[in-house]
Amino acid sequence: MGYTGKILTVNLSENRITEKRLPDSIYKKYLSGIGLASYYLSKEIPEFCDPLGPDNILGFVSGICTGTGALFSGRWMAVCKSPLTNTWGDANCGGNFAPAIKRCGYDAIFVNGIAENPVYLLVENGEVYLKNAGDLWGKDAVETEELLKERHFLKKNPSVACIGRAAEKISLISGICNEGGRIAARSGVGAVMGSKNLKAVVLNGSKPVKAYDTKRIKEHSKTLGNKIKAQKSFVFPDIALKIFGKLDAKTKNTSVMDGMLTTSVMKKWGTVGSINLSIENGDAPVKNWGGSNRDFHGLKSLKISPDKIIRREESKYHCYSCPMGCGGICNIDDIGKYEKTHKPEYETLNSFGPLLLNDDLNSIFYINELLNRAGMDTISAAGTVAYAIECFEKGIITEKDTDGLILKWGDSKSIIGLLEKMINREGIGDILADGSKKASEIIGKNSEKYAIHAGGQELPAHDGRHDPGYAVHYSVEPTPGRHTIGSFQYYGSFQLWREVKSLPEVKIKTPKTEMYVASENNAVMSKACSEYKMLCDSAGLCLFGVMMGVQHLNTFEYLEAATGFGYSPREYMEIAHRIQTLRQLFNIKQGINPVDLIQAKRASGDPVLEKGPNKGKYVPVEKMAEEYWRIMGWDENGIPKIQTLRELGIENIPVEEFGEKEVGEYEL
Amino acid sequence: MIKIKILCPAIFHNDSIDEYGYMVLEEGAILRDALKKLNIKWPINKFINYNINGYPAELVTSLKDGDEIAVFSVISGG
Repeated sequence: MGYTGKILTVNLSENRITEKRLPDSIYKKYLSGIGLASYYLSKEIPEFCDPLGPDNILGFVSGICTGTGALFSGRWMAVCKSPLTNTWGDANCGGNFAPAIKRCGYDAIFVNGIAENPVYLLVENGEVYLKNAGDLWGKDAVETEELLKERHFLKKNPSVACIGRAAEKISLISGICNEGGRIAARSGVGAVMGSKNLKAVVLNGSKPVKAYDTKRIKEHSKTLGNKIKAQKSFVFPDIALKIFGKLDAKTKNTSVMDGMLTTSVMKKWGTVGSINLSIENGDAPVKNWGGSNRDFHGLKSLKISPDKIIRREESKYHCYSCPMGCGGICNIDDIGKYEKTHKPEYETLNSFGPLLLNDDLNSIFYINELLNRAGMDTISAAGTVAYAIECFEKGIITEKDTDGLILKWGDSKSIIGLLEKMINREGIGDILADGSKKASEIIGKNSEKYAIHAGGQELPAHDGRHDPGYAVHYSVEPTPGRHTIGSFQYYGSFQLWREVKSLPEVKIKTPKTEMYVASENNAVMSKACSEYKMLCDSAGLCLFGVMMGVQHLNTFEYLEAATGFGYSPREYMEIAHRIQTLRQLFNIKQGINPVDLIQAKRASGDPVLEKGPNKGKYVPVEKMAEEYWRIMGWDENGIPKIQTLRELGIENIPVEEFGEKEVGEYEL
Repeated sequence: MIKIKILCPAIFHNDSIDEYGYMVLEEGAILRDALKKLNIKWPINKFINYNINGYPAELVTSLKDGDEIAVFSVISGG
């Protein structure tokens, strides 16, 4: 229970739409969400698959707790083979699409093939259609969604996931959009959707979602909701966090914090609340990972302060089932051609702020909406722009290459000009539209050292030189370059040892130096983070909810109440180990050498920074990765051992018998 | 005597808490007493947020054995 037991499969080449009923045994072994996806894609995507070809499968998956009454359960994922990294690809998103999948009666929708002409998939009142999207192709993601909502309004608005022009032009750093500003951004999932000529998925259903023990879910949600509601407002102005960040940078020990208190920061500012703390303590990368807070000091950082950002906020935005509401809708009608935008996230703010030495806050608001509409990943776009600026600075590219654009750190006009070229694939934008790694391969001239990525995925705005746990996860995850999976800070806040007794409790006064060691203890913590995130992504839970700690949001409690499987927390973590290993195996099947996914040297502190809170810090990420792989039961090169596969029951993916029936109509 | 646990940023760490964050206090102690041992005094203690067992507390809230106090947590992300 918690799952519907059905998936929808769509073959766009053959115009074939099929509903498949899956046995309970699949859910007991893999749960739903990313677990179900790891099973299905491992089985169905052939070896060495062309990620932009018809054999790649694009999945839209919902979690096992979504729709059951669990709080923070509004996350959905797009899954596929990534054309950006050629590995397992996925992107996690909030908004309102997750419950819509379940309300149509499915746990997941999987699409393969390529449509002859642009189409959109519509699931409405239990019927499934492939519709002509010719009038929508070329429109941005916000316009597309508005049109489709109007067209298919039936007592309520449908939920829409769609692509913008970046994905139509197969930019490998494009994503899939929902709710006008939530985006499944990473792995180039948008490019896969664009390559299939699939413009949108529109869902309008009202089937109920059943949990095994609704009462138990409601009880946990009530307690959690009451705690969150009771939290006091955060009275300090954001400059207090700047001071806190400076003090934090000087401490010798790590901090273990209770994430419930962070909800007041999130409610007040959203994820941007921590930007000045992060700049001062070294968490935020600056100047393409080659700078520090000394390069983005004082007045500059105050110009992009969270207090300034929320002055534009007209209303709060909550994803489905979220009692916290870190989002917001901001008025920007005085800045340019757009009236409103979703409040920028921390990643967007840092990536187009300190990473590019840009203190023009209005430009960041504008860029936020520009890229939301184009459907382009802000992290990768900024990382690629940073690469280009550094190449320009070093004379590797010139005005001749940029059609007269003079690229400079902090020059918002040229940054926007370059982004427009990338969205339209014009001039040098055609090279940059596929990310910094591919650009460096084309531009050459030893420029690859300025492309700061892991396996082709640009690194997010959390510096592993400050928290080496990030560096580990950027480098070892089957989806490289991810900040939303684990770090030593996250491990401390998850507090999993309260439920999984074999996991080490973090000592409050752990010296920071211990984080920079390839130790078994560090590897155990990183493994636990990977596994816990697999559980959260199988459940459909939001990272900002689980970050409060298992003593507040008990993921195991929610899972057990939703499914009634009778598993202990340790058994759920073993399922997660299975999911993680299956994703790694997927990569091996696709010809990936895990060692090649290790993050860029500069991000590890090679060479070390000479100034700032990360001065002199070096992360031995290769050794830490080896230790992680060993603890996972994989070999020193990251390849799962046969013994591990046997223990997890995945040495052969069984060919299950699915009940199958054809559904769907085509109006093309 | 009572034993409580405190989760707080490293800037407040001192010898009043052990390696797992436990602090021993006199029976009848209130939150202000615990914060005083961490050198969190007026005016700082007026403005930062703290919870006891997940719920907001006042400086005069009584403590009991096994309570968990959280002080001023900001986890970055997103």
